[in-house]
Amino acid sequence: MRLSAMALTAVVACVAGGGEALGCPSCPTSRLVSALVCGETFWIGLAATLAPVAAFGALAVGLHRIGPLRSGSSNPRARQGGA
Amino acid sequence: MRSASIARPGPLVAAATLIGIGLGGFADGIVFHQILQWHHMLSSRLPPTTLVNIKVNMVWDGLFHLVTWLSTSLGLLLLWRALGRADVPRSNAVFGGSLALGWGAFNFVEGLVDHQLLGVHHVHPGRGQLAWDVGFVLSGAVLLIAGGLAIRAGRLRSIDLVTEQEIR
Repeated sequence: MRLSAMALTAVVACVAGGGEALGCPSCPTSRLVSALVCGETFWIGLAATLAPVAAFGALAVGLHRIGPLRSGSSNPRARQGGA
Repeated sequence: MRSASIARPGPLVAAATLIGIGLGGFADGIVFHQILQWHHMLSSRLPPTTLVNIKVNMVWDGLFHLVTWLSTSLGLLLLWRALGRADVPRSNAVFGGSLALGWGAFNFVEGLVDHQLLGVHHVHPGRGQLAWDVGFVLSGAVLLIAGGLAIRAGRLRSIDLVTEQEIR
């Protein structure tokens, strides 16, 4: 999952009229919704959606590097020959 | 050829953590956004009191669920790859702990960023709003700690198993 990919998805949703695909594709209400999604709420909505993703990505990358643990090297019980 | 005494739980931890993040996000979205309707993604900016505001919030709720779906999918992909590796221990404690860690990370990070920093929504707006927000972040912290402890216990147990095999 890349931040740029998510931003691209949101932009594509706006360009394709994502807000209009909610029941009345061409009615005035949907046009207003699209204008709001792509207008005044766009950046704050994008930040609220994607800012946590950056933290989650960093966490997952860090956790993926856990290990290797060699037996007897860091486990006191193993060093003593078992529990 | 790999040494049998090497235990590398990282791929399993990362995979299960991403799944936990996704499941935590789905739980938040399904329970708080849809069933209880306590809040929506931008409900502090656009109160869901008109049809237009509700529909705008629905769009952003959908994008939020897209993120949680991607996290879950990526986690499943990484889990599939991890299970194919001989050096990744199949530990229930590591897997369960990582799920809890991921769920806790979701509550903790989302609570801090969206509720406190950006203020786009709150868990239960109105009276006692801060208490609900603090409780949400604390639930994340508890899950993070519990998950970390379970992962640690699982790692030590997997080393013990390898050590016993080597002694035999």
